[in-house]
Amino acid sequence: MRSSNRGSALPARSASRIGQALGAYVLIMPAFLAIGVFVLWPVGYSLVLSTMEWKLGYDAREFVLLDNYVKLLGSRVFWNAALNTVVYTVAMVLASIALGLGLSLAITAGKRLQSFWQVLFFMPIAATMSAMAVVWRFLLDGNLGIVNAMLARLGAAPVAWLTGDATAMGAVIVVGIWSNAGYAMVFFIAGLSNIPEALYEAAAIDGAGILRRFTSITWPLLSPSTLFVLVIMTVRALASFDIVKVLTDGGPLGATQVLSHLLYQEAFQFFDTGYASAVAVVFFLLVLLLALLQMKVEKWVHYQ
Amino acid sequence: MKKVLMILGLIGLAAGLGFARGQEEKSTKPVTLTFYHIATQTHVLYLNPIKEAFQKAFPGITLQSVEVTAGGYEALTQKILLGLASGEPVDIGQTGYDQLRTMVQSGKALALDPFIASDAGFKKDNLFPAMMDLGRLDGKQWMVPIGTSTPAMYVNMDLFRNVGLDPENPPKSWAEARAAAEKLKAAGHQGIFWGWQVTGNWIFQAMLDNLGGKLVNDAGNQVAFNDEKGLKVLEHLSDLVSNGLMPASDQGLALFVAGNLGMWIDSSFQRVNTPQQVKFGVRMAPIPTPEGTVPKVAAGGNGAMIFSTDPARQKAAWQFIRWMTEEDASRIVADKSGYTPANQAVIRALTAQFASDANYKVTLDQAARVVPWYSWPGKNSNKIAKSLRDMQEAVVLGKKAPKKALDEAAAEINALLK
Repeated sequence: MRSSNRGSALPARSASRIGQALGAYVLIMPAFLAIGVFVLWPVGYSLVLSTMEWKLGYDAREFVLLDNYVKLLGSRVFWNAALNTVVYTVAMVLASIALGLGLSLAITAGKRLQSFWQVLFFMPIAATMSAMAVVWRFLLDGNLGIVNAMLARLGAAPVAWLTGDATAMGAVIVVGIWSNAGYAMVFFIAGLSNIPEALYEAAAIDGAGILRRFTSITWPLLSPSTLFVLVIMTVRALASFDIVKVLTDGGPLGATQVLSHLLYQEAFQFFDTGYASAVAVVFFLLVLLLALLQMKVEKWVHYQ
Repeated sequence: MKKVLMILGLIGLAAGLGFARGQEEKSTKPVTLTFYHIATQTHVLYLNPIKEAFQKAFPGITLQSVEVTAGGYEALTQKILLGLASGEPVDIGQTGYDQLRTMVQSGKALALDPFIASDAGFKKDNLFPAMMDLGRLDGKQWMVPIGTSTPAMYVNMDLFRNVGLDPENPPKSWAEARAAAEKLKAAGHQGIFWGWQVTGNWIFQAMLDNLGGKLVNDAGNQVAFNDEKGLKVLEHLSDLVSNGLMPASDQGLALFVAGNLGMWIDSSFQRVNTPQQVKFGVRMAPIPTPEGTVPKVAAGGNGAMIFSTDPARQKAAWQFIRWMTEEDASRIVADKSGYTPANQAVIRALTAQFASDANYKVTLDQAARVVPWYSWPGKNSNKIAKSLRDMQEAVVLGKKAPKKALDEAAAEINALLK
């Protein structure tokens, strides 16, 4: 009885398993297609383009294999942009996280006007960055800017904010922080609201001070938020092209040139599509590397 | 039977008429052309009326605009080349004179000579030869000018009077301009601003031209600006900036509009726009030259090119280009922008009409004797323009000595010309 049963049930069961698998594939198909068309295909195509010499719009395309990469790695402009990208990203991400955390702690500590402060600090995110960068551009202008006008009132000498090497990078970083700290703040506020009040009460009974409560409860339990914010901020920092484009256009003389801006310049100002694709591929690898690093960090995160 | 024949005959006649009408429709079949153009606040002032007037004159041809609102001629070129690369129809493209070579070398532009030769309605003789030359390359006509601008000086008349300078008699030589800047500076104003940042090479070329220098050798494969003449241009800029006579900035228009700058050298395109933005009197003058002679002026501005592949669309696009050279369109360009059209009859009429307008006179006088704005060859043309811009920026910001900036840029550009 049993064996005959098994004999007849097996094909049916495997058929239904295949059906199930097929159904699953059908269900993931739309998402897979979308990712394929909008992510995988462009990435793959960039890879192909990066082995070509092709000026945008021209008929002639020529395979040059790794020439673009050789040119890239030997280019002072590229290494300068890579270094600037690291400086900008590290400074902007760390400062935005610190400021966002500080703001969220201050706002949740106070009982009044919580949503007012949240909205206030979140506003730069809602604004169009390129438009805001134009405003900053004129606030900081060396000859016409309000900042220098205020300095003059105080009797101080004008500063060439956007035309000095260090001040230009500083300005780009500060505007970056201004536009991102509020974003970090929102995630930290959400993270803080998930920490059970009971833990603080218990700690208070045990006699833990403010600092101890922060290091032993708040900070560890915020680690999922922190990791998330770290990832988001890094991505935003690497992609912050608009600030650089409007504020300094990569200048003065490359002092604020970052990889995303170099990529734009090579592709859309110099029309050097092959070379720009090589920059894009290297940039992609860099981001991939960072993502892998951040996944390693994940073991320090306390989800419970 | 007769009746039947008659009916059949009528049907045949009707069909024949219908067929004839069909034929007629085929020849004037409505066409929609895509027109790529710049659409900044000042450019739509003349382009929108032009599109409307053309629509009225040619109801069968619809212009569909693809507008570029920021980034100048390079961005416009990019948009056109991107459109062509992705297989979108590009019929007519407005193109900056400095981008001509890039467009021609792309292999996508259409030479206009066959249309010019076969269209008796196209009055080539009525167009300024110097301006038509701006659209010529390798012996062919690729572009017909829409509007041409020249470098010009804008004087803040109020500031000039305040410090005892005569705005009706602005400085003609570099030395005179420098002396005027000294006076302005002594009174707490800013002296002069040479618009070195305008496309990064246009004003530089103008300064160099007037010293008798050249950007490149005749073969176009080696730079020629790295001689004592090029050095003199950079040393002049460096001298002005380091002595506080010229602001270290790239914001010429904003500085001038703010009202504290005495002399500003930029494009005559600003003739209409700038005086409307300011509360002080503006006098236009030719740019100062090393010895105070009548300046050579490199042509800025743009023209129209055809990129259509389909013969019917090419024909319609030519209709537009031809119409652009005629009186109605030329008038619009001349009235609504600081550009000068190529139509000689219109310029003559304007010169008579605006004889008393000193600012307009400068524009019109200069337009007739433009020299080409150098269009860099090869794949690296925009990179070369950027090198020249960086060279001047380094000097203006005091980051490099003129000689060092000059030699480095020359080496960089020579490598890019290979």
